[in-house]
Amino acid sequence: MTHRVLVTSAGVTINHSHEDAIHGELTPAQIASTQANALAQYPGIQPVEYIRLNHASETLLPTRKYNCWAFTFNPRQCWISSGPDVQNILDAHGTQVFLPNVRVGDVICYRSASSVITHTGRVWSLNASNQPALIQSKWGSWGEYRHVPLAPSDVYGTNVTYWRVTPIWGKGDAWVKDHAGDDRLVEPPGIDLYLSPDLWCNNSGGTFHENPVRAQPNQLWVRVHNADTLAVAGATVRVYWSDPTGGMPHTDWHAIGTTGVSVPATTLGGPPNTVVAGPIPWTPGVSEPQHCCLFAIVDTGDDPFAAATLDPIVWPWDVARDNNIIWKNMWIVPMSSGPSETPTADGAGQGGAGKPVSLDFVAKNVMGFAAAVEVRVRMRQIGAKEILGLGLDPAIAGQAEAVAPRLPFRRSKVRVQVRPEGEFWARRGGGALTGKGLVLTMPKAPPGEGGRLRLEVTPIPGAKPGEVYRIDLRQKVAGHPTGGGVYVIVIRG
Amino acid sequence: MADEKLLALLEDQHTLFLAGAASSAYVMRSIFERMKPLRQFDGRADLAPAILERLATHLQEPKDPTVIGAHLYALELTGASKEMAQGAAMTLRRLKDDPLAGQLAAHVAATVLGKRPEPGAFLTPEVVDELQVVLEKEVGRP
Repeated sequence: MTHRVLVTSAGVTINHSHEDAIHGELTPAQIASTQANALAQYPGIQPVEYIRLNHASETLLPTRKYNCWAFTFNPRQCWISSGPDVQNILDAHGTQVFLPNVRVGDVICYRSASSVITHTGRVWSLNASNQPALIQSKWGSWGEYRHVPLAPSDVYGTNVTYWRVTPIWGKGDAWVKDHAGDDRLVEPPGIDLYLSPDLWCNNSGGTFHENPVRAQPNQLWVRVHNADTLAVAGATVRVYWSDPTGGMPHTDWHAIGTTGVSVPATTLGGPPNTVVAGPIPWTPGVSEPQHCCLFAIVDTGDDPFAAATLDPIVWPWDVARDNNIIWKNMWIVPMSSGPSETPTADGAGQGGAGKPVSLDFVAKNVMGFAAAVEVRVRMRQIGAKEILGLGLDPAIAGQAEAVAPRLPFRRSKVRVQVRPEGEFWARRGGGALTGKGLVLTMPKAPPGEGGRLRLEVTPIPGAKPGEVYRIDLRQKVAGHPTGGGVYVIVIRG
Repeated sequence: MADEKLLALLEDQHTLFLAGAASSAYVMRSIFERMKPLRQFDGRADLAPAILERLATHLQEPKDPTVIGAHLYALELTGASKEMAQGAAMTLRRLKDDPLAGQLAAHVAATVLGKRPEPGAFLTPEVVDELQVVLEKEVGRP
């Protein structure tokens, strides 16, 4: 049995063991009776389903392989020995956070009346008041459950605190950025989780993103970071496409291809090492839409119980929570500044005079229950720094710099008309996009249902070649950000 | 309650069910303390040899830390120091590094030896080693 050295940034070793190896795993009868007893004794707790990368689903049932502390700090890999080990982790890697500043992925820490640490878990969701609504945790040798914070209070106590905790050392940590501001933690702040700078298409081997070209060979690249003292060896980078939406169930991710990647270890406390994996070839065919979402998974292992696997996938198919999974939903739209010609969305053909470019966005309820879907549409002119931050061609940034407005607020020289299609929309805010943006809602969309937004974009007189506008479409379902997309409008001469 | 029925509590599914939610010896002990039926072992030194005998059986493969924990807790309740020492020593020989059974045994050992660690304290491997050496002498091993 692999028994690696887990250590805090303060150099303190975290005691851990493999209870299943010491005592033997629970028998099938014990697993069944424990699970049945748990569900009967704590009504409302939800067993956690784990969906492997081959889409097979399994319930995380009672097991001696890992306990609550190992789920929280070294996912599902071992049994961390004691509350004082947890205290050592919190001392070196944790910052206490207070309501209402708790975020999804923060650690909940339960203590007894005498302040002994009894249990930990991760915040799974927040309610409308930013209070933790559900926790995900492993209950000793019972199963892994989602539950209201005080569901297990009779066992673990009611004294709870919340902590933002950076990863401990020695567990492996292959990592890709959800967006430029990703802090490596579960569900990084900011909702641009569909704008990973670490996934791009470039057919010349460059490191900036270009639109994939339909019916031609394209090259996809993924930048993988390693922030741990153990090397990432022989991981598989998997890349997928899907329709462009604000959230797409894993069953609609279509495999493009894979490539291997290894990333050297870093030193304790040193900067992460980075390797670019690729190219992964892709020729979009007739089944792919003109503009696709792209996803990448750094597959370090999707067996939740393989103790020897470094940094396994913890939340498969979950872009926001798992730091091995990224998404890019960005499309570059070159447009003529002249009033007499308008390129089509791919920038290749010339449309009729005065015709707007038509862009699509599909909003979808990705939850397993009927829920409100909200899409916020905003547009603003962006400068060179932000263009580079989006991972776009430095030449575009250079041109934008040359025509940068002197005043911070300048009226947009691009007109956008938003037309909702589908029966579930209840629009508010009008159809023409203004500086305030638009909010479009579906009060209660059935699971898997949604509607299309059609954006008609037209440059107006005064638009200068080199200007770049960013149209953001951000989707929330049941109040929770599920994704979105960005159209980058580049004004040409 | 007949002795056999009382001893059967230590292997009762419901008794052990809650203890399965323990990630640490402290939590396991807290759960046992709240289970009123187990209080019937309080002062029952006459049952200690039977508990010890059962504990020895449970320490054979496969071992179950919650069952072992229940027996150690019951032994402590009986107050029979000789059997407490023997039970703790047997457990430490096999499960010294275990965060549940090993820690519970170390706490029982500390109690027998007149040391009183904080109930929630995690006893470091060095402290457990030291306790085991002293305890083995107490139970007659070299």
